[in-house]
Amino acid sequence: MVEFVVTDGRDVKNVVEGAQAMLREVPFGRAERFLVATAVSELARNLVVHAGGGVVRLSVLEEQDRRGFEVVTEDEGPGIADWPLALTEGYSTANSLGLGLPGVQRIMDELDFDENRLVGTRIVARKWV
Amino acid sequence: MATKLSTDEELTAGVPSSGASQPELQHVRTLSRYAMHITNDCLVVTLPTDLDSEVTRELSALLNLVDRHRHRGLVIDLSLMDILPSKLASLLEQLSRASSLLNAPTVICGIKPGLASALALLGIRFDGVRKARNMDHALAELTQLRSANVAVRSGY
Repeated sequence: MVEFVVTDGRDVKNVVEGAQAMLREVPFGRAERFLVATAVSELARNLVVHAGGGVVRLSVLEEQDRRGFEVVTEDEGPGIADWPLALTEGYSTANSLGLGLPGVQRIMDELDFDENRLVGTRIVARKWV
Repeated sequence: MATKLSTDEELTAGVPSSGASQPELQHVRTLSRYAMHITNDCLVVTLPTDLDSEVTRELSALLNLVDRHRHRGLVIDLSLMDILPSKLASLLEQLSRASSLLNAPTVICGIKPGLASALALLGIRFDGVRKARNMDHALAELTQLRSANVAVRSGY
């Protein structure tokens, strides 16, 4: 597991580069690697834009019968009051409030979050080979 | 009525001058990471892969260049990009709209298949922005647009 503290665009870049390096250890196709890196970029950027920074943890997942990649983001920002809305199409990239979460959800196999969290946001996204 | 101009960039916008002014040098510095050339009166910009949060400034500097040098079109080449953050994509959309308002239509080219599927999944459509497969097609489209404009103006 590799942890990144993210506060600005430069950190986001580091996270994406780190993700790309780690993704080479997972037998994804080339196109899939870039998709997952895109999702990582969106999630990391959300920390900067919406939460004033946070932490990203990247892990290669190895289970008995499958391999995958996990990205966890955690922040102590304002949190997401309306998850269904945040995951709704159109509430995405078109406006500047866009979180890009519908896109992340489409790219990754799993997207978990704690709807009842009182402080900040924690998102766990996984993609399996 | 004179209005207050807040930045150097605004001060020099649209002022033709042969010597490089201080703000222009600043633009050059800002944009020095970009591979740029001018062909057929069009500004061709290949975006570098390592774009970060400074990009908003850089893109507005591009717009100033288009205005200053009266370019007739803008080609944005994405062929180096494997991933494109949605924020940057929407900035590019804005840039191309703004550039069109300066009568310098924009064509985005060089989107690789992998990037295309990522953009589709992110819901980025580049609506209202001209797209071309490669730089040749982009320049051809701009040339065609220009001759269409000339035809309209001369009443054909």
